[in-house]
Parts: sequence; structure tokens; C-alpha cells
Amino acid sequence: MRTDLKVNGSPVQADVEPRVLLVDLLRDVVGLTGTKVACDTAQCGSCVVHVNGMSQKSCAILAVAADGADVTTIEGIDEPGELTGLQTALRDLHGTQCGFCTPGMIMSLLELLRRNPTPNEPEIRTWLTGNLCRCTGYHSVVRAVLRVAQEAASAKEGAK
Amino acid sequence: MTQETATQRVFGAAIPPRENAGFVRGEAVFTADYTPPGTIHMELLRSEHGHAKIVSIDTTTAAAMPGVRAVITGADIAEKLLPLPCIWIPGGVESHFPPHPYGVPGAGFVLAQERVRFIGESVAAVVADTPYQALDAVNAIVVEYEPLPAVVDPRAALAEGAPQLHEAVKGNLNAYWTCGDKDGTDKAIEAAEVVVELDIVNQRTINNPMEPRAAVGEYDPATDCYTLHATSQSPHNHRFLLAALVLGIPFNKLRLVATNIGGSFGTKGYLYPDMPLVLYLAKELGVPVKWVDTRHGLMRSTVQGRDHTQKVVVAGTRDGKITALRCTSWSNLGAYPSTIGPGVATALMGRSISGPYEIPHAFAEVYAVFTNVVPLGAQRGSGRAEATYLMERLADRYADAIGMDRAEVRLRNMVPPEKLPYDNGLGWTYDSGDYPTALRLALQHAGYDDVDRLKAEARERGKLLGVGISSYVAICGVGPSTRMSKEGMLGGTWESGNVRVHPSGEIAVTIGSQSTGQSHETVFAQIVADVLQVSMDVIRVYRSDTEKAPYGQGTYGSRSYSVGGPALYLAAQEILLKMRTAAAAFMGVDQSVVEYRDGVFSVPGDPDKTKTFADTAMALWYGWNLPPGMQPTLDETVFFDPPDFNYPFGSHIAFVEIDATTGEVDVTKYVAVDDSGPIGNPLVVQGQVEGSIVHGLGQVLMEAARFDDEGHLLTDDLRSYAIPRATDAPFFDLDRTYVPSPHNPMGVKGAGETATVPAAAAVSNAICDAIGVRDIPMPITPEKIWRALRDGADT
Amino acid sequence: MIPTTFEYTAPDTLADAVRILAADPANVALAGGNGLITLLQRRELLPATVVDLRKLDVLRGMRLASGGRLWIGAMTTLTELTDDPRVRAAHGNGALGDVLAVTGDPQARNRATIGGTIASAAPGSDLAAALLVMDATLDVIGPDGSRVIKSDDIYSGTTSLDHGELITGVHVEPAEPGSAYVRLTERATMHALCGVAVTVALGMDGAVNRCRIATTGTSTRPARLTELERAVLATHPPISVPVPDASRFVDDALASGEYRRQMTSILAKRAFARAVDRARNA
Repeated sequence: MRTDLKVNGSPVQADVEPRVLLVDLLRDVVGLTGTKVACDTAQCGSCVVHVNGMSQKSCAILAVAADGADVTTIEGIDEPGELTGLQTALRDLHGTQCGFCTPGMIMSLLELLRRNPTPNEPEIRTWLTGNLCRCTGYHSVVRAVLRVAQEAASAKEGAK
Repeated sequence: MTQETATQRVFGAAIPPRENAGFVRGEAVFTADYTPPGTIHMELLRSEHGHAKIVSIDTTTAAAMPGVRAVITGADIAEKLLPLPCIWIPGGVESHFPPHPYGVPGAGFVLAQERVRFIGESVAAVVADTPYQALDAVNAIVVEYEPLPAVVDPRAALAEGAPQLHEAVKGNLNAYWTCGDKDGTDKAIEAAEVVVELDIVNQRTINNPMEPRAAVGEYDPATDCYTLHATSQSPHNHRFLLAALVLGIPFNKLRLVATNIGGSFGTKGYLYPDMPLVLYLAKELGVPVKWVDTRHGLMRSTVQGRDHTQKVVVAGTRDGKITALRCTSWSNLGAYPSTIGPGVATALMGRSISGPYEIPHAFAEVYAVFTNVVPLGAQRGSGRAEATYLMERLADRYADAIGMDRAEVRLRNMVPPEKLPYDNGLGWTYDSGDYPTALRLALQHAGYDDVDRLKAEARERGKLLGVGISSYVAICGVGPSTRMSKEGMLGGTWESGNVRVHPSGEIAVTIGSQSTGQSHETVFAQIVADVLQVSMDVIRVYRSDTEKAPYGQGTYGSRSYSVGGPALYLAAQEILLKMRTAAAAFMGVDQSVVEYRDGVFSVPGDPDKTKTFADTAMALWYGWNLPPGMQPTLDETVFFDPPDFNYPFGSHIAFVEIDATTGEVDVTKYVAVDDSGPIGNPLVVQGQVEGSIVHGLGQVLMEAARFDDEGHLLTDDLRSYAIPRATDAPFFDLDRTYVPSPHNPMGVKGAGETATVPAAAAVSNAICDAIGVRDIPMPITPEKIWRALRDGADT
Repeated sequence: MIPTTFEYTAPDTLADAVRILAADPANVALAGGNGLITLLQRRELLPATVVDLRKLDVLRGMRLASGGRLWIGAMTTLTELTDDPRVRAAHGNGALGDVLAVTGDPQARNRATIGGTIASAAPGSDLAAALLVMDATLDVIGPDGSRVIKSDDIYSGTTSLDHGELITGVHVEPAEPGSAYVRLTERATMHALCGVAVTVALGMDGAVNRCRIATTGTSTRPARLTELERAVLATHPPISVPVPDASRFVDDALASGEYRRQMTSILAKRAFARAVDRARNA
């Protein structure tokens, strides 16, 4: 079945079976392996991408149902060679250990920061209920987001 | 406490791990991301029964399905692939294993032979052009099973008339293993003023690293060589075992590559059926064969952790001196021994039961038993966590029995620093430490003297506040080869480091261990940068490819940094020594007058005589005018086999608040004081500590693998098996002490799993403290707390 | 994991959707997909045709009628509900707002639709308890035409829909001045281990004039607890709620029926405390 979508700004035409999951289309057909698969039940969040600007679990979406959609993956959030503020904070504050859950975590958190550039700690933790990490115990991730929030707050302060 | 390090040293600096850049971009390649041209896909048919005879397997429909290249069953490979081996057996005792044709202990088949013994056992493999086609064909295989009676409880498995798993293992008993002083312990308990007993189930857990396992097999007919990319935390070891004992091919013909690994916590140090299968099928079919597990598959087939059922006793005087400790444990090995499971289940647990305490008489006995559940392996802190749990629960019970403060009881019984090294009478000789100082520091952080006020204040808010202490010694750095041979390890446990200086002065560092998230590319570069006084930027760390890396034993038992680190440190020192000798010769001076600082060899008082690190490297590469006997280039490998283990220690204190009406528990604050010796990168170690503690909280509060009586796994995905989320992690107050280990030249000790070791007991003790009950079995759910509160103190 | 093969269609009209869905008992409707795709992946459901409702714009959006009655299109996502200023104004400080604050995770809420959430009738559905106390009704269309499912009938079976029927919209009555939802969270699924929604209206004398109580996660299906409602009527805050009859509470691997039963009383009390507070501040 033909499905046309936009991935990271580029058009993608694929002929896939209806049962193919969006995450498999992204990984196996488009070749973007930054998006990970770690559970079969839409719980861990390793496969989170943005569909039409909203963070969604790409293992719970049929590729054919993404026909016409604008999809952004971890590979598409920044210019090559540059990191977003969130990525920089996660790198510098060690908010990633094995790195497997990290792309999904970032795609999830980017929506949080878009909605609320200065989240507090409970807001960050609650938002992360859809992302499981077994390495960090989440603290370093939370610290990194708090730093981004702090930077946003001081930038806002500075702009006044 | 603060670590005393020279200023500007790279060792000890909180450098953000360089590998993080690839992780945050999603560019880091994991095994499932590796797809060589022409790759086709394997899926496994797994048993649906805990115990059954395979009457027949009909693969005709499956074989005819679109895209299917091969369907194989146990019968197809019986003569071609040998059973998997077990290489860590219970040491020093008689033990019984399934057979292996080479006489080594067997550990199950690549594909089931006539019988399945646990849910998830591999029964057949399908290879097809796409994973979708392969799974369709797997589902089209018709297996006729004749269910057999199953047994899932280790004590039931030892009973007369219990279903028998292996012909070679009478009564399902792999081994009866003991350590310590049985008679003395029994007599001391009999004569004691105070005796406290507990029945503990240290429940089976599923590690659940975020990355499920994966393997990609390639075969090159031109050279008759195989390459395996796999989620292996012991690439060299797995290469050896696969070539020699499973595939039966020359060692030279197998290369094993581990790319980035998405967490392990003990699970990826084992051999699994998929590893030889993808290689065998790649050769048979002439194309690369890839297999990627799912969460559901992982839950049913990747080794699981803990699972000790214990009767434990502590005895002591009325004035607070512990005189004896006894532990009887039934360890559930599952249906087959895993690669190193039986050793983990016996020595790592039994020898560790007395923790940091000086206990005159201690004895542990372990019945290692086969049952119809998933094979047992290691889970972060394995053995030591189970030991610490029982000791720390008993310490609280004993303190309560004699009416003494729980911290005071611990302080009175801890091995005093002046008695170290200390033989614990169970087989470990603690190398160094200051246990009371760590506990006092933790008490200070916790504001322990103020706890009564905090409890009263919480009561006013309608909450029950509890405080739990847990002190530990964690044996780490699985290392001394001869010593490990006595523990039943069928192999060496040294580790390696290689330093090669390029003519440009840049440095290639190659290690034998394998990161599963511990930032090896950074922390090992720091060691070399520190010794050679060069910038981190010129150092690149290679690993994980048996064709390129020096032999190493891999990453487990907190050994990469504490055994592999010193190997690399010594290799760097050898490089420096050679460079100093060469530089002296090039400058025409005696090397005793040569000073080395920040990348420059110089002669004090003679400013004309300098030679940079890079110049020296270039000169050694040219090889002109070398001192007599010196070989060109700089390339040093050191294999380090430590004289003994290292023994990190510490004390954790958990604060919980309980809602008495619902039983909901909130871990509000968690103090951890750990000692892993000198710390190479505090940022990395902090991450390990935080993650370790949350792993422990998972076990005590929510995690449990549950099987029904037929051996069906009831918790087979993350809808039915809970692991901690961001909202579960408490406020941390972390500190450490820095006692160096005498067993390696850097003084370093393990840190990757130590903080898991005391965590479950700290929280369990806090909960029991809050509600005033004797014990609540893990996982301690709100309902169990609510029932304990309802039913009163003797639950 | 990988689903079995099936046909897929995304009809442009509601009539087509209903027709195709009804054509084969093995056909299923796809809304947000959180529940359905998991069932497909685990091969717990083997559909003939998956009928994707994503193109049916007629099922999207919200309409606020006079009197505060709210119509929510079945394909409206939980995030759209949460973000909608009208919903926030009318329900943010009530049972529905409480549900939207805790249910699912952000990515699930971004896909989950209100219709799909109701139709999948997951055990421990937070939304279910809120709909029951808010006297929500469903607009349903099927091969035999349209009908309305009353609040009390929504969860009368495992699902109240007949095969071939689709929810087109949900009517939510104006919230009582006081309503609330509280739950104990099941750790693995993040559903309700036991959840209780209440509404309350106080009379001039300060006593309970009207009230509703519904539970989720405690039984095979979400339900109103009318006997408790009767017990609470005419009592004065702080409202205490008796422990309900044991018969409806089930044991499972997550909790015992007894625990759920006792918690229902405790959670109801807490929900009433919050709801009364809201009623007084309304």
C-alpha cells in the first residue's frame, strides 16, 4: 500500500503492507535508525517521534496511517553538527548512559519544552511517565531539562 | 567528603562523556541498527510450555511461505551445533549438569531437543527476507507438545517425586554448596542469648535493559571466516566459547564485534542460542542473518536475576554483639544453568552474607536447583544484593529484639578499620575500608539524631515516616584468575589494556572490556591522559572487536574499571618509561635527569634540551638511532590479574513516608555514602550510583517475575512487569569516602553496581520502621503495607 | 513485535466507515491506536480489515451548547481536550480535568481519542469513572442507524457497542459545582488500580443534595455505586463513604478485591473532600 509522508522535511514515498509499523518504516525503509524499538506495548517511549509536531510513539502507529503526515525523528531536530540546547544539556550533564532510550526521551521532552519552556521538576518527571530508562535513574535527565529551563528563564529575563 | 587530587589532573575530573554526543543525536550504532547488504532475518519459535515433550514439529507450511529461506528445528542441528556450555560452576563441591560432548558442563541446547524445559526455550528458527515474513512463518510452524508435569519452586523441585528436568541431574540438584563454619555457627546460635530468624524470598526479577538483545551473523566463503555482531558484554570470551564449544570451528575463523550496547545489568554476558544460529545460518544461506529480540522475547528468554528463598538466623548477646549468622538458601537456577549462573547463585551470595560485620561464626549453604523457569543469571549487584538484604533485615530485627538503636548495633559490630585486611570466615578477605566512618557520614547527612522529631512532624501530616539503614561490602572486580578457579570459574579473569602512540603523538587506547553504558570511551581515555599528561582530545578509545582489541574478559562484576583500568594504567606507564628512555637518548643525557611535564621531556637547567611527546613518538616511529635494544614504535599491552578482588563499601539511609489509609509509600529522601576508592570521573560514577539505587528501589517496591505452576510467565511484557519511572525516583543526598584498594596500582574499586547492593534493604528497613512490623516480603506493594498495618505488628 | 496481515482502509465518509466495519465481524475500527496496535503487535487480535477513522473530520472537534452541555467528537484526542480553553474553563477544575491530568502519558494522550478510549474499555480506564458521574451519553452510529447510549449503559457489557457500531461523539452534561477523580495508580500500565469519581451538589443547608459515585479498575467494568450514593445523600461534609458491598470487587494479580473495596471508600472520601471544596469555591 502506498504511503506518502514527509520525514525530516523530505518527502518519502513507500509501498508497505498495512501492518508495517511507522517505526519499522522509519528504521528499515527510510534508514533512520536513531528511533529505537524497546517494547512491544507502547510503554517505554524509545520510539517517540513527532507526528505533525506532536510527540507520539511510532510503534503504536501504522505506517499507512501516517500517510500525509509530517514526521520528525531525532535525526531531524537540529542542523548537522549542531545540537539543540536540550541535547547539549543531556550530553554535558550525563543525562544519557547507554543511550538507547535517549532519542525517544529527547523527542518527548522537546514537546514539553515547546509547551512550557520553564518546567519545574515535578512537571518534568510527570511528563516523562511515557519514557522508561534503566540506566540513569532519571536524575541526570531531570537535571539537564532543569538547566534548559533555567537558560530559558534567564534568556527571558535578559530580553525584558 | 572531597577527593584529594592534584589540581588539573584529568583523573578525577567530571568530564562529560564524549560518547554522549552520539547518543543525544541518535547516531550511535547499536546491534539492531547494523544491517550489512543482503541481510535477511531470523525469528525464533519459543516454547509455550514450561515443561513438555515435543511430539512432532511440522514446518511444511512455514517453509513454503513467501520470502522464507530456511526453517530449522532441533533435529536439523543436533549433529552440527553443540549445546551451550556453562563456565562458572559452584566451586569446590560436587555439581551436576546437563551433558556437553566435550565434557564441560552443559547449559542447554541451541534449539530444543525432543523436550522443552522452560517457557521461551528456542524450538525452531525461521529465516526470511524480512522480519515480518519470518515471524509469519514462525507462527505457521505446528508443534505438537505433550505437556509434562512442571515444577517452578526450588524446594518443591527437591522433593521426592518432583518432576525431573535432566537425566544427568538426579533430584534436580545442581549443587549443595556451603561456606563458613557450620558446627561453630550452630553451637553459637544454640548458646546465644538472643536469636532472630527470618524467612526471606528475594524474588526473581527481570533486568530489562532498554535494548533487547540482537545478533547479526556474517560468513565470508572466500576466507571461510565468520563475523558476529552481537549485544555481548564479553566479546572475547563469547568468541572463544562459541568457536570452541558450540560451532566447533577454529578460533581464528570467528570474529566477534560488539557495537554500542543499550544497557545490560548482567544479562548480556551470557551465551544465547541466537548467537551460534545466525552464524550457522549465514554460512548455510550465504547471506548475513540478523536477529533482533522483542521485549516479550526478552522477558521469556534473557537470563533473570535474584530468586533466592532463604531461612536466615542471626544470634547475639543482649548487649549488642552479633555472635553468629546462618543462611540456608534455595537458589532457583531455572531450567538450565546459564553461562555463569551457578557461580553467581552460590559464591557471590553465600560468601557475602556477613556484610561489613565482624561475626565470629557464620555459615551459608545454598541448594542450587533446576526448575521449569527461565535460566537465572546476574542482575546488577547479583549475589551481594541478596546477601546484604538478609543481613541488613536481620540487623534491624536483632536491634529491635535487644532494644538497641539500629545504627548503634551496626557500629558496634562493624569490622574496625584497624582489623583490615579482614578474613570474613566465609571466603572473602576484605582488602581495605573504614565502614564506621561511612555509616557515621551517612547518619550525619540523614540528620539521624533528628529522626524522632521528623516522625512526629510527619504524623501530624497524617503520614508514617520510617528510616532504614543498610550497610554493605560489595565484592567487586571479578579478577584474580587462580582465585576464581577455586570459585569454579572455568577460565581466566584478568583484563587488558593497550596503548599505542601514533607518530603524530595521538594515542589509540584499546581495551578488552565492553561498555554497556558506563562511558568507557571517556573514563579509560582519562586514565591514559592522566599518566601521559596529554590532552584528552588526542586519545581515541577502541574496544569491542576481537580482531582489534587485546584479549579481555569483558564487563561484569564491576570489573572493567577496577581490573581493566589498572591494566591500561600500567600500559601507559610502560609507554612513558620507554619514551623517557628514548627522549634521554635523543637528547644525549642520562634518563635520570630527564623531567616530563605536560607533554614535554626536558632537562632542568638546560633549556636547549627538550623533546616533545609528539617528537619523541615520531622519532620512535622512524626508528633511527634508537638506544641499543629498543624496538621502534610505541605499542604496549598489559594484562592485569589482580592479587584479589576489591571491596567497595558504604552505608545508605532511606526515608519513606507511608499513607496509612492506602499503604502508598513514597521514598522521600535517600542518603548514600559509598566508597569505590579514588574516582576517575565523578560525573560518570554519580550516574552509576543514581541508576543503581533506582534499580534497587524497583526490586523492593514493584518488580517481580511471576510464573504459574505450569511454568507460564505471567509477567511477560512491560504492561505486567513494572519498572521505576521518573516519578518514582527519590531526592538523593550522595556522598562518598575514598579508601584506596591495595589490590591494584590505582587503588580503584568497582562502582557500577555497588549502590544497588544495599538499596532494597534500606527501603525495606524504612518501611518496616514506619509501620512497626517485622517483615514484609518484596515487592512491598501498597496493599501489602495496608494489610500489615491492618493486621498488626506480627505480619 | 509484528502484527499479522490485514487489510487497511481509511474511508472518507462516516457511511463508508460504518458499511465496511459492519461487512465482516473480523473488521475493527482504528482510532488513536494505543490499545489496538498493541493488541495487533502481540497478535492478541487478528482483524480482517482495519478501518481507520482518521479522515472523518466529522468526528473531530468540540461544541459547547447553551446551558453548558458539551459535545466532543469521538476522534478528539485527549490532548486536544486538555488544551481546549472551553473544556478547561468548564471542566478543568472537576472530575474530567482530574482525569486528563493523570491518564496515560503525553504521547498516549496525543493519540488517544475519547471515542477510542471509551470503545476499548480498558480495565482501569480513568475516563470511564468520570463519564459515569458526569452523566455522559454517547452518539453511536451503526448499520441500523444512529442511537444514543445512556451513561449507565456505556459500560454495561465489556463494551456497549454492537459490532459495526461507531461512537461519533460524547455529550457531557455541565459539571456539577463539585466533582473530582482520584485514583491509586497501577505501576506497570499507569491505569487505575482503583479509581473513584464523584460529583456533588450541596443544598442550602450544606448537606449533600445530589451526588454520584463511580469506580474504575475495581471490577470487571466501571460502574456507578448507587448504594453508596444513597448513603451519602443528605449527609454533611466532611463526607464519609461507607465501605461498599464486597460482591462487585475482583481479585487479580495486581490487588485483591478486598483492598480495592476498602480503597474505594477511602478514595471516595478524598474525592468528595476535593469536590466539596470545589463546590464551595464555585
